[in-house]
Amino acid sequence: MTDAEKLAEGDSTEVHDADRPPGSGTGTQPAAQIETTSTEPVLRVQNLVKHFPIRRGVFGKQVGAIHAVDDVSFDLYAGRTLGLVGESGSGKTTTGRAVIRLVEPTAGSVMLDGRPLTAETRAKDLARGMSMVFQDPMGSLNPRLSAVANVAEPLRIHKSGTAVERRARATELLDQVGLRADQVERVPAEFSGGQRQRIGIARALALSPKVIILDEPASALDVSVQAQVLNLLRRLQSDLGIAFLFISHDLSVVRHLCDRVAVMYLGEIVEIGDQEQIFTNPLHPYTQALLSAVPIPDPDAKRERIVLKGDLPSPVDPPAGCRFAGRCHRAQDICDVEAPVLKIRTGAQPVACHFPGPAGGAG
Amino acid sequence: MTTAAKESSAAAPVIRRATVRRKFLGSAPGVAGAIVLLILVLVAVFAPLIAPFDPLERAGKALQGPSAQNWFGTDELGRDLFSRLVYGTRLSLETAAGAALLACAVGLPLGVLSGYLGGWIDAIVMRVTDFVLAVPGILFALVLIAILGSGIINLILAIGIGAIPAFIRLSRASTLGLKEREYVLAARSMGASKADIMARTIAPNTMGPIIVQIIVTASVAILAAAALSFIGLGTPPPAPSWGGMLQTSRSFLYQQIWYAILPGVALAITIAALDGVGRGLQTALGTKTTGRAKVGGMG
Repeated sequence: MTDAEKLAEGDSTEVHDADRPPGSGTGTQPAAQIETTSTEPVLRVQNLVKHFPIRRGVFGKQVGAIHAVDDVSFDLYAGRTLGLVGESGSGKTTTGRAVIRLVEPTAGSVMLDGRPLTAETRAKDLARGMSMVFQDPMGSLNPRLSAVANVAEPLRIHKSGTAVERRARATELLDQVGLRADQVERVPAEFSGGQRQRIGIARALALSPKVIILDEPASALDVSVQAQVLNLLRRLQSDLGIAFLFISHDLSVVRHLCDRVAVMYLGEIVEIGDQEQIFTNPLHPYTQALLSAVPIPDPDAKRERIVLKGDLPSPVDPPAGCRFAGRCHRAQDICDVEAPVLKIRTGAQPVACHFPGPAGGAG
Repeated sequence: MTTAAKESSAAAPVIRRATVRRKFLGSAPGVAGAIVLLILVLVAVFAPLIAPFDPLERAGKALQGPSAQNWFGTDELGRDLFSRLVYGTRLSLETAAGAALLACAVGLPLGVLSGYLGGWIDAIVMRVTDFVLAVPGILFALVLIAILGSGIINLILAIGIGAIPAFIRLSRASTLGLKEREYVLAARSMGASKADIMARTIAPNTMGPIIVQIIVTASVAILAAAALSFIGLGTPPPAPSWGGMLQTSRSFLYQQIWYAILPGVALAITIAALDGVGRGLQTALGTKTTGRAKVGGMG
């Protein structure tokens, strides 16, 4: 409890992604997207914390907390994609869910389109600005409703138009994601995985949100289908100017789709920067280890593979200093004592490491 | 449709109408039960057209064996047995449907509410459920009828109320499983209210096991109604209830044996048909056996 407060307040003066408006980096944004961006972020997340209490005993006394997300801050601009990457248990999914308030954050603020989201924000108002696409396309569609009814659900919940108008709009949305009108009456079980995810995307578009949170939208799909779905997302973004928060463990997918990338480790962002910065000049040893694990489609390519030793430490009792220290090849005494804050150090992008530097460097 | 069936993942427990229909039609007890049940329902609906005599009026001499005029013979008051059995079908099915639908209409919403909201609502609902389940079903019905008096409506109430806990438990258990599903999270992320999620997203998805439970409850209700009529607490005479007929026929076993046999056969056929449909549905929906014991052993 006190930990949460400390973490929430302690680092609040540190660098935020906010001071990096789009275009200021070495980013390689497609031309079509530049015109849809503005200098105000459409989604600003500041010092987001989510601790899941662990309760024991008859009276449910809190004996600890799972530190799922600790002090996460980032900005997201219209028409852009921020990738949130990390291994399982790094807190990326919880971050996404806390942003859209499927779980109530322990601390921190989320601003959507300039307005703060709080526990009092009506769920319907939130849903008009932000929607979500889930990982499991089968599990996230109501199995008893047809495709068109699934897509019309958000419209029904928001009492938009008559039933006939809603159906027409849903059919239109399904057409936009590439489903033919003669398929829309089928139930989710009668579609392939890729088609189901298209339905999920159409549903996320229904209320014309400013931000869509994509939680591993392609990782349950075959590689060929993945590419189709990712290309669809790209096309929709350039057509509609929607901002994506793209949660994924798949770095090659993130590279393909994202303008900016935040690397998460055990609930914290350890490095954040433009896609090119992260992929060509990663500074954090964890980012470097992640990148070295990405397969290169070239049998002759030589590179140093960084193999991480050990497992992810327990999120119940995270290490006092740098959370990565126990697995880091550059770790020194200070790393076990003092937690490094996320700020610009040697390179261009903020990094939470006492000894940042290019891969292979002694640090 | 068949290609779509092939490529869908087998892991997801999915209700697909076409598959359910195909599996049900592949189940012998299901098909046989459904056909018999359909015939029984038709008999009940068209009873006035099928029965040659008024079930409450004399139609010949008392206690006659089967004849061309009275196909199954007559009872102690000279009423046509066939006509009474036909109207008895109507009475039995009314009781069964009434009790099962009442139990479902009350139990399903309570179970969903209890499972989805949790907290004190859940605690209260579950304690009351435990209380009702602790009392044997037939005893519970006896007490209710003693308080309310006999008659078909009270019979339905007595049996139906005793069957509510099974529906609560079943729908609560399904709800607990469903509420963490991604499509429920998706509905929440769309801004749906709790009431909307429960009514539109959760309740329809608990229907598989609930439908099986409705069938099971219906057959238990028919047996319970017969048992209560047999001890004089069901529908009072002169109503042509199968249980009541069984009861009076005991005094005339030597004069008219068919009087005792035929209501029993009618009961057996109806229960067997419902059981067959229940099994067929379980096969088709892939739900686990919902034992009779859950209803409180009322039969």
